Amino acid sequence: MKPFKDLFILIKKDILNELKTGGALISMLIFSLLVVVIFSFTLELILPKVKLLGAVLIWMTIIFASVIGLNYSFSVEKENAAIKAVMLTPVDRGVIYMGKMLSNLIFILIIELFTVPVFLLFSNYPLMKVIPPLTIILMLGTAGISSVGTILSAISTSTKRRDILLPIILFPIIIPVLIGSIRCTEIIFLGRSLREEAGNWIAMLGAYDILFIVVSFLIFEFVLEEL
Amino acid sequence: MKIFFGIILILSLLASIITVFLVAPVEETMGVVQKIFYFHVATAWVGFLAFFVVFIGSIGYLIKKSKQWDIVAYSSAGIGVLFTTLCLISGSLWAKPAWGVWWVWDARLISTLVLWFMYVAYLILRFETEGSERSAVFCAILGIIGFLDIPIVFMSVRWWRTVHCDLIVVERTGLTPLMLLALLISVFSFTLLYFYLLMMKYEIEKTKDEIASLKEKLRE
Amino acid sequence: MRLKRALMATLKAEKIKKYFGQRKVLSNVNLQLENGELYVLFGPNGSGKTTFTLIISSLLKPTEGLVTFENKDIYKQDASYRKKVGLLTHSTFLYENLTGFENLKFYGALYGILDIKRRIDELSLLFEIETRMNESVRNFSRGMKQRLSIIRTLIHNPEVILMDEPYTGLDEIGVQILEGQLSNYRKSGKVIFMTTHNLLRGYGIATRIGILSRGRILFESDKKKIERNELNEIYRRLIRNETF
Repeated sequence: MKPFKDLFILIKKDILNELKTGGALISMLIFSLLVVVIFSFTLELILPKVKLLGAVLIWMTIIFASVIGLNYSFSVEKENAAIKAVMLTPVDRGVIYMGKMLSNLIFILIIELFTVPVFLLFSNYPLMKVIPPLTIILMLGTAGISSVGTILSAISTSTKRRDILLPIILFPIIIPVLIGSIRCTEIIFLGRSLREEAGNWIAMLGAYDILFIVVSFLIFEFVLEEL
Repeated sequence: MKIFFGIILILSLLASIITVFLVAPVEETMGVVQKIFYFHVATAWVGFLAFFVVFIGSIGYLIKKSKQWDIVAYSSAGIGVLFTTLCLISGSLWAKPAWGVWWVWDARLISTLVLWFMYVAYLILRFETEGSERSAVFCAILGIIGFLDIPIVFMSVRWWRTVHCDLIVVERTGLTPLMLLALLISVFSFTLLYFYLLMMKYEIEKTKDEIASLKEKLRE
Repeated sequence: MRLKRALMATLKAEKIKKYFGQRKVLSNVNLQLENGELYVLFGPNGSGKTTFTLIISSLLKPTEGLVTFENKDIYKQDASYRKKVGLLTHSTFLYENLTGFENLKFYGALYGILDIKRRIDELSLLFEIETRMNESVRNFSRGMKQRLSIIRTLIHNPEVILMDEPYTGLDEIGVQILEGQLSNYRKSGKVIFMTTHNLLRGYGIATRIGILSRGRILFESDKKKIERNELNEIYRRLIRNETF
């Protein structure tokens, strides 16, 4: 049970750190709300059928907000090289990855918790009907983003131009997550059934999450040694 | 050995040009433009092959931590960018007469474009971390994740764009045995070209390395 | 004498070489540390002290060579060796946004210490920062951070204590407390290794002395066999040609 206890300690520390400073969370939240507001009303002017763009808009907002959070997650660890001391404790290297991945997942989900309902309200979607299936897709998609996002942000944080590097290396990799999530969200917004029309997409998202969580878990050790 | 390889390479490239332009018949609907197809497919194939080599080199480096593997991966990425770029350009040249536009959001074109972005990201990461072990490890990680991602990208993009199935039909049915021969020869010769370039690049990087270590010895 | 030492040594570094890319930082360093001794390694900046300390802590793999603890490769022992090591470096390893207490509690929990609160109270009292423990580390002075970082190093009562330039930023009182503690730990049979470029301080506390220059240990001696002035002389002679 020790790995789970360690996992809990690591996540608790990340959350505590966020609570103390607001850190990335506040910035991510304001940023994504801004994007949602700006897009919602500018697109409303241009084309009245903004609903069709809703799926794209939501996921674009999410990945850009995620980049802000991911960039922050390892800069905290590197400020005084604290991650090195964590590596010296008996904690397993893979557990360090899982801890960061889950913290990132939690933070991005928190942002979605605020941003997505605001967007749905703005665009007059039937909330009660949309929210339950959308929650599943948000979870699956966000897990995909933070699975590779965590290991790649550990890499990008250690380079010279770290802020710009993360999207460059991350976006090509998460294209399947992005298009899968967008397609599923679109189906939900059109009021159709996920089960009938998006079975293969959901399977793909699930497979992606599992594959990259497992792979990152296994190779994270190599990244840690070079931080 | 190298010269021998070089001669075979030149001969096979010549053979492919001859078969493509002189032996293979001109396709009925597309006309002479269809000749692009042989090189387009060959460059696409080399693009993927190069990424596979990046993947193997990356795994090799993480296991052995020896410089050679890293040089193989890095060199292959450089050549991969070259060939995927050629593939995109030739695809674009094909698209204009075939569909009347320079770019179509065709599943395979999107996938190749994503592949191109991955390669470029790899090289940028390399550039940003130049000259350290860190650079090799980070690139190896990206090389592995990127390669594992490719099948998923392909599958998802195909599901996303199911419009252009007709193209496959044209290619499959419209290929005469001579056309197939030309295709096989050009794929083969481009593969040889890839390995030749890889060998050259490997030697250059290796020499650079030796020079650096000699300089270091001199300094001591 | 040498042979006896080799047999007794608990932490042993053999033929350690380290390259960063093409740059050679350590060339063939051999070092043996026994229980109950306090080894001080002197050397100017850039001599490879930090690199060597990181290598014997298991954080940094050497390019060549072997580090063993109780005759077993430290990289094969993994977590069981990490549990026994306390490392202090120039980086404080502290989370700036958290308080002193939260930092220590976090690390203590990862080491699986049962009564964390008591251990923290005990050590913070000892290092005289108990009144500042609930302030966020960002507001600490360098000296305070160093004291907190020393506590973090010792939180799990390690058998092997590695300190890279521990005097950095430490005020006189802090130095006295640290040296007092290290002496106690040494007498209780722990392995203590320290690097510094402060000859005066280092000589005062050491039981054995080494000088590292350009990645080589050029001089090694029991402290008893050497006078301070002598050490001074040797050190200046050895590092004269060092390029800064």
